[in-house]
Amino acid sequence: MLSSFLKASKEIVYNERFSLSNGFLQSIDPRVKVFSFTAFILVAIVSKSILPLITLVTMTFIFSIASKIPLRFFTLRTAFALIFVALIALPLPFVTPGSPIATIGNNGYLISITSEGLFKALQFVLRVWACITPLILLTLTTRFSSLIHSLERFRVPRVFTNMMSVTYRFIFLFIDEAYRMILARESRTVRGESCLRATKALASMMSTLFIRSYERGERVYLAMMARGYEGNIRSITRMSINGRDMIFGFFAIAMCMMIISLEYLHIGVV
Amino acid sequence: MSDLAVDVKDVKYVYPDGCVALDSVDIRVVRGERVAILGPNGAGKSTLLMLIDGLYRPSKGSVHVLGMPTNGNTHKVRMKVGLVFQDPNDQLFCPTLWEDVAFGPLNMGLDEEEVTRRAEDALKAVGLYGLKDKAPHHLSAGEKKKATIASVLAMNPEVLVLDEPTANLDSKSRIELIGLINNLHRRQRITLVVATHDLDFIPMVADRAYVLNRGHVVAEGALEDVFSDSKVMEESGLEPPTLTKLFDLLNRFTGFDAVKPLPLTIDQALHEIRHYLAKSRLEPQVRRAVPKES
Repeated sequence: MLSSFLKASKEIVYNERFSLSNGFLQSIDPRVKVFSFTAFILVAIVSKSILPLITLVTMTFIFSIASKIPLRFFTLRTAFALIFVALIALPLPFVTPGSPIATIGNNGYLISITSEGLFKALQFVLRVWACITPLILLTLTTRFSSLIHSLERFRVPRVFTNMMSVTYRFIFLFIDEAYRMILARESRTVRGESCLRATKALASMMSTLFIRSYERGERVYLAMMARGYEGNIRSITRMSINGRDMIFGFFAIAMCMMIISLEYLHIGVV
Repeated sequence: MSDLAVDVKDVKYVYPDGCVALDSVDIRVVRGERVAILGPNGAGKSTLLMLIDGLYRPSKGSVHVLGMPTNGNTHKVRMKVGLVFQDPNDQLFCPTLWEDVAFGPLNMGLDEEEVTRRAEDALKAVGLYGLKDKAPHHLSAGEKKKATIASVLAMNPEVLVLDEPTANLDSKSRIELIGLINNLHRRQRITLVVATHDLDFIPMVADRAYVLNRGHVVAEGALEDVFSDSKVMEESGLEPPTLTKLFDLLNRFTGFDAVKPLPLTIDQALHEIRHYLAKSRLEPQVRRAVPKES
């Protein structure tokens, strides 16, 4: 079970299939994408009503289709996170004060579902969805290296971007290492074992993995120093913004403005 | 300028946990030489290479590279010495291959044009230019090894230091690696220091060897001499190359009379056999001594 989970996560993290295909968003400059998608997320955070959130999600889905990402795959990827969000939102209809629309229980102990609560739950789920869909779309259509470079262009501290890129590079090895350890263990496990023993084994595996990654970190650091590393990673990036990128950027800003004005003119209040 | 590329004088190295990795080690490598550091696992080979690259400081004694002491010149020394680590995964840490190769030149403070040129040249030299935008985790083991060599070549090192270069390589990658290393040696007169326990590989990339065992240099000299010193070889847990062993057995148990030092490479062996066949044509009675199976 654990091994298949590791395999799946590796597949998700490392699949560059879509970012290398020739869809619409793939052709847009990563900096423009990072900027526009951050704007979308900000709009999603400040929106209080449901229509702007739905507009955002719909727009993201249209972009994903234009970027040649299979609709089913994209829906599943974004909906996966919603399972957890829905769990968090579950109590909301019951605990929010307001006008009850349904009541469970007898006279003494009443639990009622309020319309305000339902609205709140729906709003919460939609908002999270509107935040994660642009993020997922961005990472699907952009190569990780370009993403890091555009963050650097936006003055995200180097410590942060360096850490991200090194983490990204070594998660792969880490997963492989864990996978091999699990396989090695499974190959020596003949009968089913008790939960306690399995947990103990997992704990010792984790400590071994920790030591191995610590040692790997030391060696990577030495290898970096061997090539003249003295505290900061320099890089050369060649990115250019053309007319198409500009149009996309302006379109994105215009969309955000429109959604926010919808919100404040109370046109789209549901 | 000093004639010595690497000069290790009476070096002792003690790890922080008190374990003595090297003791009274003396190693001298002349510029343009190809030298092997041989020894079993845990003999201190990697530690020695770290000392040569100025990554570790000797606890006692001194290490000079191209006339400069590594103490106090670490940055300069690291620019001149290209150290290729055993595990390519330790060395390739950037999101793309191109960035990994450009990492060294960028640290040298070169301008963008020069960095680009050097990175391109290095990638072309190892034949990986077509893969420059690939992520390291999508490369094969052989490609990764070549990539690490490109990443140090881009710094134009004068001394190339390789730690177990054939570890985890298939035979095709091995052959390519040997070709690559020797090309560099021939064209750029680069000094080679190769640490390994793969003795079938070493005759193709080195002329002279030091044998390390438990932190001490136990033998040094031309490869042929080192390999024929069976006592040292056995004590150090090293096995002579298959060819050398074969000719040793032929000498001992058949009428075959290979000239010492015994052949180390296929070319030398071929020469030996031709020589023997020519001789046996002149003296037919020798022919019977050759085992039929061979």
